[in-house]
Amino acid sequence: MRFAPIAVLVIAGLSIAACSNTRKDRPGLAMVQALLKPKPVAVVSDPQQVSQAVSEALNAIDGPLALATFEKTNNNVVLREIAVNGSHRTWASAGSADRRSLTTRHGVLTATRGLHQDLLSSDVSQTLALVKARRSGTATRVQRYLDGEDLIYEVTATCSIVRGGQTQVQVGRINRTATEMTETCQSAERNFTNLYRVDGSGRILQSVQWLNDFYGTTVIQQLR
Amino acid sequence: MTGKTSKIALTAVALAWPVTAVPENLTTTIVNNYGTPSGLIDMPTAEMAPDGQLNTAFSYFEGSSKTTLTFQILPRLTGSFRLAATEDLTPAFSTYYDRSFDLRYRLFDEGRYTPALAIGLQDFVGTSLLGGEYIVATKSIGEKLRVTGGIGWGRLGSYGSLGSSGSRPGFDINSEGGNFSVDDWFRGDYALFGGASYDFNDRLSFGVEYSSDAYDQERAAGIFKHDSPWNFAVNYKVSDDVHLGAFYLNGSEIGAKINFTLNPRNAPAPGGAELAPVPVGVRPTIQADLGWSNDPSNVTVLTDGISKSLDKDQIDLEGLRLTDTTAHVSIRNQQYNAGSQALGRTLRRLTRTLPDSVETIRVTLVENGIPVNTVSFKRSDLERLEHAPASAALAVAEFSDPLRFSDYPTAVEGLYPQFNWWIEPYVKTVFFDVENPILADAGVRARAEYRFGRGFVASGSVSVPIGGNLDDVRTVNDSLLPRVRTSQARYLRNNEPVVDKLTLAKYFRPAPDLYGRVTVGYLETVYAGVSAEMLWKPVDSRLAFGVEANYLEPRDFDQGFGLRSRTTPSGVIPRASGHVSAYYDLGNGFHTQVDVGRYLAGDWGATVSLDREFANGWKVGAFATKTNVSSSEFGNGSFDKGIRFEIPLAWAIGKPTKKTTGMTLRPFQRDGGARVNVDGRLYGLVRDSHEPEIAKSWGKFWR
Repeated sequence: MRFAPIAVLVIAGLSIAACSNTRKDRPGLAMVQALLKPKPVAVVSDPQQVSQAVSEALNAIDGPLALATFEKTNNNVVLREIAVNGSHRTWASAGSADRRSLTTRHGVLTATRGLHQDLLSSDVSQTLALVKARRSGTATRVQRYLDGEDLIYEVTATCSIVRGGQTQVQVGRINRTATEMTETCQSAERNFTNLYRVDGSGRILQSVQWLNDFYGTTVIQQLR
Repeated sequence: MTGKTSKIALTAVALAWPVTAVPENLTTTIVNNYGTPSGLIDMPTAEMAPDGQLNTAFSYFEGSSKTTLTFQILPRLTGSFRLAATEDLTPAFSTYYDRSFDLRYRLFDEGRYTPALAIGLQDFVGTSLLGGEYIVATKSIGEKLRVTGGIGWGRLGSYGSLGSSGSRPGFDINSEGGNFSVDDWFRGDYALFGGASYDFNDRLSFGVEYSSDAYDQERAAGIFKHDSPWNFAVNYKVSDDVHLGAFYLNGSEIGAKINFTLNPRNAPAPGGAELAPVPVGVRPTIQADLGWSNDPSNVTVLTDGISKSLDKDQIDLEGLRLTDTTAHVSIRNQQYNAGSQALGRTLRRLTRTLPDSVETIRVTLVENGIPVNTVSFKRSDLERLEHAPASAALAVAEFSDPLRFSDYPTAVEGLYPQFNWWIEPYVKTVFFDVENPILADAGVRARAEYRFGRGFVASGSVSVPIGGNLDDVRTVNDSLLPRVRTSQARYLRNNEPVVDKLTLAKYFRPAPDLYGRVTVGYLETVYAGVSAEMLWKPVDSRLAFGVEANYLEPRDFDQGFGLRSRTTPSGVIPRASGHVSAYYDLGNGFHTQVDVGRYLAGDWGATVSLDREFANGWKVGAFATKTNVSSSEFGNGSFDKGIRFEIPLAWAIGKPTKKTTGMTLRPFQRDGGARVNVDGRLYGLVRDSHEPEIAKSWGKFWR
């Protein structure tokens, strides 16, 4: 993350420590502090705690649940479904009212909100068709982000999808045999590899998917 | 299961790697002694800064300092503004202060075998103390070495001159400066210069040059010696934003420099760090629950629910009108600097609160009590396009003038009157005053506004200074015009609480595409009076026309409630001033404005301004005003001109806020070409909510 402390101090100078009767003026100091020390998702990094959070969520919440792990920040968060729009499901933290979300389409990550360098939207139909059918082939995928100027830029990647071996997936309430599908992608800015573990019905049970430069890859595991 | 998690996690670590980025064509973040992009010491190169970059550079050696602001206007065009101070240059001044502008344009980018070629003007408006022109070529050899050679005139042709191309009037300390010194350009003696820069690693680099500047004026004044044309520099990158450098000049002087870089295109948190919006609420089936809107109690409950829901996204509900199938909602956005984001968040909230039978949703944006733009969507389009590329939603959005709707919503009961107040610290600054790059006072400011509704707004602001050095601000006593602005120094020196402004304004919509404003009261630091304005701007137009008339009296120097006589030592301040204005969005991020009319001192003329505007709200621009006042009547600078910046706070902190900070830098503030400052000018008020600006920031619609 590029950060110009001097510039920010100058710019934020007038809004720091303002007080007002309107709700619009959040305390400027708090905003600057929040940026200096980003807290992207509810942090659970201890494996013991993760395990406990997962079983608590499974006992307390009906419906779809998943566990997301952000590689670079090493954060774990238990997700519950908060909205469904066609084949897209939007997920948010199960344990808190924190307004940050992930969106997946049949298990493939298509959007994030309230994280850093949000993924705005994605076209993943071709990837999805091959992965669900557990077939090797070539797919083009598009991921859209906002740049520093708030303009949308697209990362268009050409991906080669290869069917791998069988593996047993045992997470949460899931205990099933899955096929490993590897998606190796090349784009102008970035090369990345995604991994999906798909059951006999074509459902993605576990995946490792590249998100952005800030988080690196994200592990998403279905819990029921 | 945790074992499984960490196993799959480990697999992932090695899965993504960056592809080597394609470098921009011969750019650098290092600047030379003159604060322009160059890996050398005094000499220019054909290098450019990354597009949009702003450099603030300070350099110092033996009695000579330079403060330079440089903006990369276009990928191949660089502009600079500089304050140079030289001690003991002439007997008339202990320190001689000189302001200068530079331009450098790259004619050809670097090719595989061919160098980049640039042409430049140094100190091209002004007294030309630093004046010089050049044509320069730079070629990189491998990734670390860059070699430069060029030919220079003026200062850059003064050492080892090869010949002469005509006569050059040159530096005249007694001129008013400020005019384009066209007669000098590429005239007089010319000489060759050259150099090389080498990047030792990512942080450390070296420069060496053969300089064609003989430092004639400085040597004649006996400030320092010129023993050698060879200069040397070492540069160190402290961070991406801070560069330090030391240099050895003329075989006799050691100097140092520091450069701060800022690029509007590189936000600290790209995409913003604000929390997530609520997702679109998708209706299970389109239900025909018609008739519900006939029961007023249903509508009351709904209005209350919508108001509370929007409040969670910091949006104010102004009004609501419902039928069984349509909803027209008017909102006031005080939070989101991107209008598209305010719209996107409002619409998503509405999909979760409106009855299923409502299919058409209209959202009207309200500014200062007047409706400015109505954006209409089919609700099923919002449901369908939530996860599509953002452009798809823009394609189906309809933008219209709110006055074209007969069902324009009435104000929510109890919304007005509203009283808001703020108490906050402030810093009042004067940049590039004769002897000081920055003068500032700090204090506490109390602001309040009272919104009556129907476009009536009363607002005021009181400042209590605590301390600072604004007392040192220079007074200009040699004005030949009525002292409409040069008297401002007397207001700035106040150490008592002052009334910054106190006004009553009425905003109104006389007809479709037309906007009106009348403001009465203490308008700004120096003037009280009446200001009236009318603007024509269709909702989808990149073109607008405006007319403004002002009737003013100067305020007392203590900035209380009193007025003072309009008579000044050099003339009577006229009461009337006004302009007709044209505004045009040129596209590609450029915007221009032309104002023609009568200025404060009674002078008639025109102002032209050009700004580069970034989608995130950054603005960097320049303006110039020429009126029927001669250069000698105007005084230092010859005519009014300057550069200006506007920086959105949201860019810096990564959270939506409409707050911005800005500054206007003038080499000289005189009395010609001056205008009154009034809050709430219509173009700025209306434009951000109109289609072209909303479309530019559309990336934030679904954010």
